Amino acid sequence: MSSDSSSHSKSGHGDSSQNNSAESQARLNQARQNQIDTRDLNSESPQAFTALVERYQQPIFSFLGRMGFSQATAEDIAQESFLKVWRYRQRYNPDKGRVFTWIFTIARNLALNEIQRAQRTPHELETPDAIADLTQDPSATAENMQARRRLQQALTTLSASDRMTIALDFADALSARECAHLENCSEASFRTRASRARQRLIQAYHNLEFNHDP
Amino acid sequence: MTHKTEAEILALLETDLVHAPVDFSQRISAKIQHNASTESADQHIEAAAHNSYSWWQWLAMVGGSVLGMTQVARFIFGYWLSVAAT
Repeated sequence: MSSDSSSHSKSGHGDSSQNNSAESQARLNQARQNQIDTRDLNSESPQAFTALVERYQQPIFSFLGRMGFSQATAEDIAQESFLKVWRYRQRYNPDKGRVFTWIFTIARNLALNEIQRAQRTPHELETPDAIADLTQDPSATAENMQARRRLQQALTTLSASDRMTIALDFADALSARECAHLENCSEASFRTRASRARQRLIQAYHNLEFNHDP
Repeated sequence: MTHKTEAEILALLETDLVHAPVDFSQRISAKIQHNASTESADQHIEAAAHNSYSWWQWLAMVGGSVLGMTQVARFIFGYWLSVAAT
C-alpha cells in the first residue's frame, strides 16, 4: 500500500499537538451532541425522534453504501435500524457509549445479518446500482457512475468482515476507538485490519477493471 | 475508460455511494405512528376479549356455587329425612 494520505480514513497521522487539541474539542462537541440525542431519544415524542433520524440518516446510509449495499437494500436496513432504535429506546445505556454509536451498532448487526442471509440465498445477491452524481460535470457522470458501480461490485466480492472494516474505517462520525470497540479489537489491530481490507478492495477493483477493460 | 489509481479508488470510497431519500424521516415517523395505532388496536381487542372472558368466568363461578350449595342442601335434607323416619 503506497500511502493513506488522500484518505479521510482513520489510518492517517498528523501533527500530534494539533491532533490532541482537535480531538478534545471533538470529544466536547460529541458530549454536547449526545446530550441532545439522549433528550430526543427519551422524550417519547415521534417528532423529537424524527429530528434524531434526520441527524443520523446520512451517516448510516453512507456506512451501508460502503458495505456495498444497493440503494434499496440500504433503505430497508436503515429503516429497520431506526424502527428498532425507537422500539428499544428504553434499553439505551448512556454508560456504554453515545446514542449514535448505539444506532450504529444496531445498523451494523442488521447489515451483517443481511450479508449472511444473502450468502445463504445466492440468487438474492446484490446487483449494485450506482447513483449518478448530478452535482458533477455531466460529461464525467457516465464514467463516475461506472466507477461507483465497479466499486460497489468490488465491495461485494470481499468478506463480510472486510466490508465492515472498510465501512467503519471511513465512517467520519466514529472515532478509531469506537470502531475498535465495535470490532472488539485494539485500535492498532483495527488500523492493521483496515489497511489490509483496503488493499483487498483495491485489488478487487483492479481485477474488475482488468476483466472488463483489459 | 481510464484505470483508477489507488488514491482515486479511496477518494471514490469517501463519497456517499447511497443517499438517504428526501422523505426518509417522514417515512420512519409514519411507520412509528402506524405501528403505535396497530399496537393500540391490538391492545383494545385484547382488553375487550379479557373483559368478556372475565364476565363468563364470574357467571360460571356463581352458577357452580349455586349448584354445589343445592347438592349440599339435598344431602342434608335426605339425611334428616332418613333419621326422622327411623
